[in-house]
Amino acid sequence: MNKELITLRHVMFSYENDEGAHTEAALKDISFSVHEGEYIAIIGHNGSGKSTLAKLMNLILQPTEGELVIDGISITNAPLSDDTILQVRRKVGMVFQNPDNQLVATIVEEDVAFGPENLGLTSEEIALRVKSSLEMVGMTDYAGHAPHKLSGGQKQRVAIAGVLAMRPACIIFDESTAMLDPQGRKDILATMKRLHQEGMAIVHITHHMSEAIEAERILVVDDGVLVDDGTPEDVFRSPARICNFGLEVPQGADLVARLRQKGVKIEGDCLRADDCVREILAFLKGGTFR
Amino acid sequence: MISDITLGQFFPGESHLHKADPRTKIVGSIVYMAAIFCAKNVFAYLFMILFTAMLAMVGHIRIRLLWKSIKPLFFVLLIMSMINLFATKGTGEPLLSFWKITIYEEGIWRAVLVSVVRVVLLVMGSSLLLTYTTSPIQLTDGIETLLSPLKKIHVPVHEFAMMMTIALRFIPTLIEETDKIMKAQKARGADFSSGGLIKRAKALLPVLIPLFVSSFQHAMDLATAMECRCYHGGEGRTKYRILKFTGVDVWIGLALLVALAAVIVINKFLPIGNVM
Amino acid sequence: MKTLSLENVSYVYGKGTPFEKEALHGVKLSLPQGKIIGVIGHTGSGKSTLLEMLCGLLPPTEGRVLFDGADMYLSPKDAALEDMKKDGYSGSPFILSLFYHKYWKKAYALRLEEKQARRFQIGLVMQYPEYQLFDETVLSDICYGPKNMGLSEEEAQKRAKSAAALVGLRPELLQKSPFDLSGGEKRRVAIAGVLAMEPDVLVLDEPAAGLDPQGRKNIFDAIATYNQTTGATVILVSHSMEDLAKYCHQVVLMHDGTVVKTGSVEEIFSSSLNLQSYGLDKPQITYIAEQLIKAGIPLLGDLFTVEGVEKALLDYIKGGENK
Repeated sequence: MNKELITLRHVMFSYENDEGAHTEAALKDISFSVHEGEYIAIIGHNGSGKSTLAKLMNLILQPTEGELVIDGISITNAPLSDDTILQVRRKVGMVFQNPDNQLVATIVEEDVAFGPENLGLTSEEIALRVKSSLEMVGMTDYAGHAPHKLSGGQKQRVAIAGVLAMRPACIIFDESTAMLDPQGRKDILATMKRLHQEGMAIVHITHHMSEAIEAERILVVDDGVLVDDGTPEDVFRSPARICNFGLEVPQGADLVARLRQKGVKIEGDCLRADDCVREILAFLKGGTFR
Repeated sequence: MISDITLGQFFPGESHLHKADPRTKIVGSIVYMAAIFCAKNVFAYLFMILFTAMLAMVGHIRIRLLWKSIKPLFFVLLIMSMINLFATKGTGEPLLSFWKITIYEEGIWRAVLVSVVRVVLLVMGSSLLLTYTTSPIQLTDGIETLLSPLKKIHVPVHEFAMMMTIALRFIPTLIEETDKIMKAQKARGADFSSGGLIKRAKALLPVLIPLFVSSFQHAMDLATAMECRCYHGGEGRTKYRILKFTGVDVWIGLALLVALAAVIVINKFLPIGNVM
Repeated sequence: MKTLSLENVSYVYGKGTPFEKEALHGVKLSLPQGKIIGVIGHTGSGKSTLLEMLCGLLPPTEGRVLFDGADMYLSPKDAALEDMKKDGYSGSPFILSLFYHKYWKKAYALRLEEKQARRFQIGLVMQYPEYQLFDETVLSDICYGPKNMGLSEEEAQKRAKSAAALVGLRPELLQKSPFDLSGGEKRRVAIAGVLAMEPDVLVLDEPAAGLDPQGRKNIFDAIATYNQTTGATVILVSHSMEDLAKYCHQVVLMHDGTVVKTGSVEEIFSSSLNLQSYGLDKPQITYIAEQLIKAGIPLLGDLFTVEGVEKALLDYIKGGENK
């Protein structure tokens, strides 16, 4: 296992209401680690606390209790210096849900340059990073375009390039595919996979199960509690349990689970459609029932 | 489509005028305006017309586009020239006199040159130098750099520039959103076009409130996103595009200064048809 | 109940400008009443233009949109000419126009009235409709449409409450500010605001976009219930083929501004139609069923929902055991 990049130890978080009192905890006693180069999906229904979790990992929020360690820097509820915050944000980038709300400039390449400019890099270095980041997301041809003329998926790719230009070790995608059409979603997923192959740690927060199964590891959050942590196959083994969390399993896995309940002994994991077909055929042709 | 009306009317291009440094163009347009205001006679105006045409050629901007920038001013020009025409008292015999109106030769010259040609040239020249050939972001950069000495007396120049950039960025988004909200409320039976002033103002509330709410949302989300990209104000921040003067700037700057000098010389040595 | 149909409808954006773009081309479509009709097509296929047109928000550049047999976008002038012909006048439009001021006035007033009335007969839920919320309380926001219809406060509230119940909003939320609700609840308030007008035709553009599975199911269930209880026609745009296969009676497939095919769920998702060439996917379960059939497993029945395929497979297995 690679080095730990982000570690949460018994993290609790509750929002403050207008009077300054803490409301019911949005996150309760959460512990897990994100390792270098890992690809994790975090799933949970709306309001389960998964976005709060993302905001903690990027220091938009600080834990109310417990400890958060990011790249060796320990973070508790004590006030942080600006330098520490900047150091963490260089390491962990974040792509948000609404692409319109994260593009700053009126030209694509200027927007990608925004992060490196804040880091105080030289103009030559920024140019280099803008070029390579746009290449990485396949948006080089649009360098001179105005963001509002791009499609949702393209805007989101520009936002990813903007984060990449800061050379982080991990990117958190906070429901970054939720507002996109199927093509845009496919493009973003493909980009995530490519970044993962290049060694970037990816944390993808989503409620599309078909996207979550692309990850190496899935965390399930329900009402502020981390209820499951394992490979996609482990997590989706029991559709009934997943449904209890207000989620669903991919149709293929659902089908196989239903058949198993009826006593049909299909083996193997069936998260992807092709695996599902293969396992059902193996069962039917295997002669176990004839 | 409504969102195509982007602010600034920038026409991207590769001409020398496009490549010039925005600072040159901002200062240059001031020089240009000075030259126009200095022009006192027909020849000086003729010279400036030729000079502006040359600028348009250098900037690859077609006359038709320039014409478009003038069109909305038609009535203003008409009224201004009327006032000049009737109010100018000449020294010679009146050309025409009826009822309470007298028209002198000077009146005609003033109407044509001072109100029409001068205003048209001012608008065309500044469009050519600034809005048509300079992208809004370059313009903001230019203004920020030009004003940066003011930072010493604690004028938040960087913050102003950043605000301008973000405003420019969000104008199309907000136009699109307004359009969408209006459609949604129309579908719920909102009527924006009938009734008196108060009724109409009231009918707009269901559009304005959601628009405010979403603007605040945009602002808050954007602030978070900017912070996540390590934004911490102008201090320690570098620039991707460093403004650099090149040969083009020398040429354009020289040309404008020569134009100003030429106008002064013409005023002095060709004092024919002085209108001022 | 009223029918909606399109006759050779075309729409061109920015006609006469360099940005000219044809969004719809020669669309012929008749929408059966009382059904849930899904509209599918990749982004830019003309779906959104079609929806706006059906709702009376966008006049076609060519062709006619008929609602209840009447042209939705008939100009007052043409309406006046038609009236005159009915009254026995004949002659060239020019000659008639010299006399038609009386008719014109009447036709204009009538058109306005019809236009307003139609707003309430055809309800539109736009994408991310929570942007339309503005009032102080959830209840008064839902009442906005019914009140614009000219209903009394009492009647409007009655309708608002039943619409809120239909979309599953808890009664205690009604007195809250809509801006204090969660995303999923806001969405439901917005949809209730349209349902409260009790439209004969309900048009929805991606009503469940961005919601989690439970939220999505709630919205679609509410829509299906509305369709069943009122017999209203529902026109539904969604990218989720799984949801469409489950809830729709009919599907309209659009591509590049034209209607490629209209048919039942079976016809649209059957193997004969290559959806992929239109940039669309089938429901995963249909893909699995088709692969199994290809491999020699004869599956029969509904192959578009998980329940259907489960039954087909169980039937097949039982058939094998009985041999």
